[in-house]
Amino acid sequence: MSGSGNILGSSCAACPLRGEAGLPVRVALIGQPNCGKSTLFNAVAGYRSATGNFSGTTVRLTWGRARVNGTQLELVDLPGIYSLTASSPTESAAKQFLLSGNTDVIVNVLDASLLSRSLELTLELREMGIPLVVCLNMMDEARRKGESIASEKLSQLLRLPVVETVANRGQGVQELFARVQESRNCPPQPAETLHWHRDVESVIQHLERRLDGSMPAGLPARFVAVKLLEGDEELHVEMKCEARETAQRLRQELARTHGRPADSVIMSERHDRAMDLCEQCASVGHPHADWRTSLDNLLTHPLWGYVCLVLLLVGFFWGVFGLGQWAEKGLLAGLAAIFQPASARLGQPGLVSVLVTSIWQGFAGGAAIVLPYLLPFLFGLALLEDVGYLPRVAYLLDGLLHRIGLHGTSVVPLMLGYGCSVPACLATRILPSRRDRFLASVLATLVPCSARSTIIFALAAFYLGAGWALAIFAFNAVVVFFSGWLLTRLWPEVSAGMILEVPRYQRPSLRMTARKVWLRLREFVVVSWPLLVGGSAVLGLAGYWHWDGYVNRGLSPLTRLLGLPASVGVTLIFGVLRKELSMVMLVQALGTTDIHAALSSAQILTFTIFITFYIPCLATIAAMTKEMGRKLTLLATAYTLALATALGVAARFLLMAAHIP
Amino acid sequence: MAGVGWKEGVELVASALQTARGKAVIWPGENPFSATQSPENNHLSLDALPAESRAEVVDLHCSRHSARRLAQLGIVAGAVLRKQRSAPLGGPVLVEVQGSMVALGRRLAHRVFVRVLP
Repeated sequence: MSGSGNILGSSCAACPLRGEAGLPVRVALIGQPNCGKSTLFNAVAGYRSATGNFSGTTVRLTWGRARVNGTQLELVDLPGIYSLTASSPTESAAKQFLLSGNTDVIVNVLDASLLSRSLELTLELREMGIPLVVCLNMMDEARRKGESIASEKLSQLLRLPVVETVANRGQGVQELFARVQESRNCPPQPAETLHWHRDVESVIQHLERRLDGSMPAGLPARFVAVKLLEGDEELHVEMKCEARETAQRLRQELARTHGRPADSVIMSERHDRAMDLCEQCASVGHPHADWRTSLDNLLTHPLWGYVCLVLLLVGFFWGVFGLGQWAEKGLLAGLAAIFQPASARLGQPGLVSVLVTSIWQGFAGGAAIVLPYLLPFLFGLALLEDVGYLPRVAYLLDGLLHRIGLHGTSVVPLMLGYGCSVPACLATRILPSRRDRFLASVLATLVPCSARSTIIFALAAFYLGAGWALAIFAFNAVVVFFSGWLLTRLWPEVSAGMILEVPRYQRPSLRMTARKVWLRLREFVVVSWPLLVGGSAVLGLAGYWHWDGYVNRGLSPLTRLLGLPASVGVTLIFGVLRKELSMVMLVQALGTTDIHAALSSAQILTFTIFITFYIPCLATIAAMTKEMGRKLTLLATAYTLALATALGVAARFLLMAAHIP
Repeated sequence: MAGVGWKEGVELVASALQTARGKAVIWPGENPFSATQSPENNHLSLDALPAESRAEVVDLHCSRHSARRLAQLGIVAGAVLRKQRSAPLGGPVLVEVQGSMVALGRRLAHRVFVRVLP
């Protein structure tokens, strides 16, 4: 750390900031949604922040440290915001962080191909008085659209450093952070060219003078004045009574003189300035129609769009299953061949032998049953995210979802739910209302996550055929849809219309996708796999001392109701811990890897259906509690348990009626 | 974020029962105006605009919250946009504005008035 702050000292301010005190320079990455903040973050701080091609990939603050050009940096990746007037919890989190005054330098990341719109946020950030560096990201995309941007000119007009980058290829990143160091102590200077229309300007200055001295925590008067005129509620609450009244009066005056609400006046001022800037330094050419346009015409087509959606999802599941089954067979055989000689040497079943066998089974279960399906599944999902298909699905399904009273944007958490319920719950933060967030999280937990999908693949598909697995997925979708319908009847409120940005397609980079898969897979390797081994050992010991009998007897009303052998009871308990455990524990509890020998087809199906729907795992419950409070979580958990039991029992009797053994 | 109180829960169930009894569903947070009041005769709402046509936004008759979000995406009075298409089953309208694509729910699109450009 001693090397930090030695290069490129500043000339503007003398106050000691982090850089000089030996502390790392704290840099906040901020920009509009989907402009590549997380990609830039990952390029510097290593892959920590999941990226994806849709608005709202990042919903919480991600911290990272890096050393660039000999300076220690502390980076914060903030959720994307369109402007500093927050309209969702994710935006509010980003804004609060900036207002808290913990930032040394702001890096404002812009999607260069959407320059004029992105500059509106830059104009707002400028007024905060925090050193600011503009990062024109996605320059390659802008060039492809036929745009050319004179960044020198832009820099002069804004009086801010401007750096061109292509973050996903690491271009310009070094230079960007060199500029960050330079501007560490240089807050933005006023720029003549950015002044607003005289009448608006005079209202702002009037309010500015009135505010003098009553500013919350070191914010510049102009920034506060503009925000108050815009009707920012969060700042409004912090102001003194007198200031509020003045602001209110001036808002009315603005509304009267302009014939529309004050916030709209301010927003169009900013909009006009951004357009001006853009016209002065960017020239728009003709975008060449490429594969993206044709692909979009197909994928959002009123008929073919839906055909493609179904084909894509079916193809996806088929692909995952095909790969998984092939690998599972090979791995099971291979691992059995390794363990055969060892188990022969262990001889008579004693404590040691039980312990070694169950530990081995936990390990082998993770390697041979979970990983073969999990890996291709996560990879496929990551590809869909990176290409930018999720917002298209939201577009296609919004009409349908609105019929059950849901917001079209809920598709994003629902689709993420196929990966893992925890990020899905967090992703509901992109929804505008509390009720929408609640509905979307309950439904997202009903969607089989990758762990439960693994169970569906490894049980239903492996033993009964891929058709059954697909049927379970389809059935699940129907139940989710119906649950949505039911829950909206219980909590009627019509969500505000969907407003969703549909990003351009991105050619996914294999390296980035692989790193994202690893980020998610690490969760399994570090947390679940050890749990599988530990849980397996516990279950082995419990069997050895005959403790599992108590648990199974306690759960026997449930297992009997579902028509399952009592010995599976204990696996249901383990499933609440981690969903993968149910599967591996089933092997352990039944005492065989050939599950079909111990359970009938109908029992396998009933078990799979029950597992798919019942109580979310502990991590999900924790995430839900944090997002929506204990009572709603309890309600959601009770709902899933009741639903799973009802569906399990229904499946049992229906299968019996259909004469499926 | 705090959870919903039990009292609120009871109210929820009560309101659900009211809905079940066939009371009209209220669509809050959308607009203080009626969407049918088109400002002038030659103005269309965005959902009625034919696909593949260019238009200028004339007026937004939606809630303040929605208007702000739309403004952030460049959909303000005076902005020029191009409607790409709309999804079936009352699905959203896809428009191109300032170089980006935005999907607007059908109800919202019904409240955005535009003037067709040649």
